[in-house]
Amino acid sequence: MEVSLTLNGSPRTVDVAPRSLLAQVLRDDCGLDDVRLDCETSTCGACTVLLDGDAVKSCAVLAPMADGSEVTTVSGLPRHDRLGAVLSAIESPDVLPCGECLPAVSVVTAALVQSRPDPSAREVARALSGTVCRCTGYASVVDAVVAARTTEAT
Amino acid sequence: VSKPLGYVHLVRSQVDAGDASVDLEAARAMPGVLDVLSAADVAGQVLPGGMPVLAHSIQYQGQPVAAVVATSEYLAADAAEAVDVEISTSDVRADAPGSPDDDTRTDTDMLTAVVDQPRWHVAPLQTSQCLVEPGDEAGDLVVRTPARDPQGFARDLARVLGLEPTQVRVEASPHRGRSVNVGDVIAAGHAVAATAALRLGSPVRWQESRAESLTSGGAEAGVQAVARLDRAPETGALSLGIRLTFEVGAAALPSTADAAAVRALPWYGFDELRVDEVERTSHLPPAYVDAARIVGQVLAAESALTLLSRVTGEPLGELRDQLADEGGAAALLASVRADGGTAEVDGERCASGFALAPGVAASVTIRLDAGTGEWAPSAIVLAAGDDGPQDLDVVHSLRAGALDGYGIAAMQQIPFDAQGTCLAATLMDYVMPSSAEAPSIEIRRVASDRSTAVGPDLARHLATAAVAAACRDAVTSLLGAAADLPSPVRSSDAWAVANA
Repeated sequence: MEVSLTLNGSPRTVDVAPRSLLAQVLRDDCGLDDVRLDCETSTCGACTVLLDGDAVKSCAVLAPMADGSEVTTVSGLPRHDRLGAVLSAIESPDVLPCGECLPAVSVVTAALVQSRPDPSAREVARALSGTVCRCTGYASVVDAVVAARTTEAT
Repeated sequence: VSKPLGYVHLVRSQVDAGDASVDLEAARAMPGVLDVLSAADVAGQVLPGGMPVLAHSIQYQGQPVAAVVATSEYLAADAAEAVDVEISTSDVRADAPGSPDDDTRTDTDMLTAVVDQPRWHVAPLQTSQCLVEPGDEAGDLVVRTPARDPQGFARDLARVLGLEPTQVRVEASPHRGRSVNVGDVIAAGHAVAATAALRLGSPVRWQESRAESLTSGGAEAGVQAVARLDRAPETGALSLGIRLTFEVGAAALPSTADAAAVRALPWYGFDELRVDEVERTSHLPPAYVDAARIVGQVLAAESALTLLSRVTGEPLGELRDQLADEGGAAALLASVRADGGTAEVDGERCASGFALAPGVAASVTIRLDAGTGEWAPSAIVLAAGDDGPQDLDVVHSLRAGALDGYGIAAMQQIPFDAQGTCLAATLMDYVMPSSAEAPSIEIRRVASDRSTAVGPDLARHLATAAVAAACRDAVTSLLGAAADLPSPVRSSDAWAVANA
């Protein structure tokens, strides 16, 4: 069946099996390997994308369910203004050295900052609770988001 | 990135020994199936470590015996179920993973503590995976896969496939795989995908599933540690013997540089320390073997000391201090013990626990709900020497290891049946702390009498071991149930003790 998406701002129509996961379609049919696919049990959150502006785990969304929707992956996030500063901060190799969760963390952070322009450390930690990081204990990314907001504000 | 034409699904043995015979005809007739491979199709292909890519003679549970390539991963999985596998079971080992295998001394003067740690890495986010495309020249391959060392991966994969090193090119995504360890281990799926890509002349993808990663790769298998502590009646000399039994595998364990480094780090100064290993894990990557060694040894030693304290009535803290002093780790332990104590905060009971791993001391303060047995750390302090690398990688590793330690300490039971088959293996089987659940983690640098310089990987394992042991000590301290709590400390165990 055909599924039409607005993918990172561009229209895209793909022919998918009805039981295809959005994550698989984004990776295999659309060539977007910035969408990680790790646990496939909607636990790790590495495959998180924006679906009509909401952060969702794309391994928990059937591709046909996304028909007609706007899908944004990390490579489609806007890089200007305040969000760009926050994304630049968390994309530093010193923040998330492994990078496996980085696309998801970026997407979740984008969703958070767009709704809460000045999040607290607790709010950042709660927002990221669906995205597992094994490399840092989370402190570095939470600190980076808060620091970027603080720096931007001054 | 090319769209894969074929998807690989491996057919794995359900038992850990015997000779496999496979009937592929039914699978070959399934819709969407492009290719089906048995051991005969990849004869001569041997993985680093000595295991065949597809096995006829089974050496461990979960070993691949056949593979299906189909136009989608669903069709490949469906067809894989149609592969008929018969395994002669005359010499199948029936010992379930984790079952005690205690055939040594029963000296009544000895204290014996058993630690049965079902897994020592909490959440391997990144399973093995690859996309293999035929190259421009006939017989060449382009492999896209996470790898820390793409050139080394290409060289090793070429060797497995019987190709020249120049015939395999590996493209690794940047910023992937450095800390998740699986990237550079060539698995059967890599070799099968490469073979299928050559046979089909088209891109082929393989992605290991979560259950495969946990049950067959060995990377997440557990360790059982039996600690025997003996105190000489006249001299008081403490002798600790630790026997580590790994749960999967077939041949000798490799000895690594990290294993030697651990022996040089400040730790407890037992008058005699013996570590024996049961040789059953040859296909484990060395990094995981090191993690198992460290976690097993630390948990076992702490258990033995707890048991000694209970039997003799000597305060556990004094025992630790004395042994840490003799092992050159007094400063490390003293740094975190300064944070100890028991208190009640907001109606919840809180207590701190401590543990010493080679080169790293940990303090964990926990809160426990006596009504449910649920416990969680509210603060973790790690002390490491100030002569080691000060870079962020080590700090990240210590923090991440601390969370792993919490995870494996609170881990839920992974069920096995009587034949040793893992009945469940998903991310839901254990605790992987999320950002909202992560306690504060403080890293302290402490001047130490002995060198504590370690790299990021080893720092992580040491932090994992120390925090896991300290978590159990904290729960034990809070419940006053010395040595009666197992490790992992499940909420049901804590509840039972709290309400006994």
